[in-house]
Amino acid sequence: MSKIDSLTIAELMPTPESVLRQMGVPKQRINLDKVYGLTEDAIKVFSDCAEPAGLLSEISKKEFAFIYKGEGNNAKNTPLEHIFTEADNLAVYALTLGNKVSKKIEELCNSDDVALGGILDATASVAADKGAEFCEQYLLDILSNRKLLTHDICVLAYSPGYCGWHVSGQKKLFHRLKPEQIGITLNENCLMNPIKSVSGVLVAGLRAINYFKPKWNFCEICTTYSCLQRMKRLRDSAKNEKS
Amino acid sequence: MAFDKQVHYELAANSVIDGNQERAVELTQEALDNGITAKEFLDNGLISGMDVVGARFRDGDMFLPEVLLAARAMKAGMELLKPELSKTNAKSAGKVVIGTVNGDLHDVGKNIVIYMLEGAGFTVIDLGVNVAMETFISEVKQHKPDILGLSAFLTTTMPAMEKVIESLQENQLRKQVKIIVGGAPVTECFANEIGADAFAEDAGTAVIVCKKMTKNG
Repeated sequence: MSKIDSLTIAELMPTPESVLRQMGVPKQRINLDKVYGLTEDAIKVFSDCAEPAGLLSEISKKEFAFIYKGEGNNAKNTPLEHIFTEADNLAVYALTLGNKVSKKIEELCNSDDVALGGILDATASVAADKGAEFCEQYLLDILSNRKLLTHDICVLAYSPGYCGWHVSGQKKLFHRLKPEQIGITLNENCLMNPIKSVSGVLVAGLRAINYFKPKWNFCEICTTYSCLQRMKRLRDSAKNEKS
Repeated sequence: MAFDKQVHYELAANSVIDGNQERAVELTQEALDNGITAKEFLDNGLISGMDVVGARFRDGDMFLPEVLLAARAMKAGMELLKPELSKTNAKSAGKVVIGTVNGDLHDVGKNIVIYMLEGAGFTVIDLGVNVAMETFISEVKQHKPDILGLSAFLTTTMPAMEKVIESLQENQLRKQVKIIVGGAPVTECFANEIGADAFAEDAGTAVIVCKKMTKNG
């Protein structure tokens, strides 16, 4: 188990464009002066109060199978249960942006500046996603240093609460990883505190093992379909490698 | 040039639509200085602007950050009107008690809903996050709201919404209050299953639904 010492705010800084995209603003509307300016303000606030910390631990498929089973609440058939069995390497991870960011969002919203608070919240969400990507790269680097990387190997993060992996899966994940050492705790409803934290499993393997069609039972109630963006990211990275 | 109320209302509505906080405050002060009542200016100027914002948001012509700026402009203007509104006991669009259910700490979505409801003229009592079932019951008893809003962001905290509704029934309070539920994992189907009156998938919809429930829409 290791703390990710190389994780800094600079690695997680979102651009105004990425924050506004996260808030549903289409590309052609991103340059609206007032909105763009407020987003830059929110990013500045974020850079002043984020205290990122991360933790990663490699595990075997057998160990992860136990974690994945969780409290027995997962959907009956999920993409991840097929994906991780085909992985070359696995690691569990957790990352937080620290308590100050969450407190600042709360403070802004309670002081009647929901506009800045709301955009800061979106900023932190984008940064947390970037944090997960940072952890993916971190594991790739570890594997690369061990000369374990072959062509078309990638790392993709999966988290409890998504794609049929029930959020109660956090309990066993926390028991194994102990993210309390970087300040993340879990409440009885499996909500992480600070809220702006991410955790899950990093799956290293062929890109192809991560591709699936979002036609599982639980997809009907999904409001994000973020799996499609994640798969697009993999396909784009494959194209970039070829070119 | 003579002061033209209609033009002034239109300018105020546009300042809200444009999210121009300074202009909204300036126009509100001018309205008060020219003898327009707070209620009249609120309804015809600021709220009228927020109505346009709500409709554009629903139609995909405005986006959340723009809506937040508009609501901020609206609220800044409203701050100037508050003293007169409270003196004249101006009737609000309705009273809403709202909170994030027990075990859940997410409040940004709820706060955006509150912001927009206030912008639409509702009186909102915010119970905050991680609100115990008993607190919802006692606050409904105390404030007698038209609407109770329940928010949850996790599948593990959604069942707490159902418990609140059951408890309202046990306490003979269910019929006196309409219930609206929302939050990332909440669906219309779930809202129906637990006996809520309405579901809103976003803040804009929440305002429209609350207006309908209070017959202001």
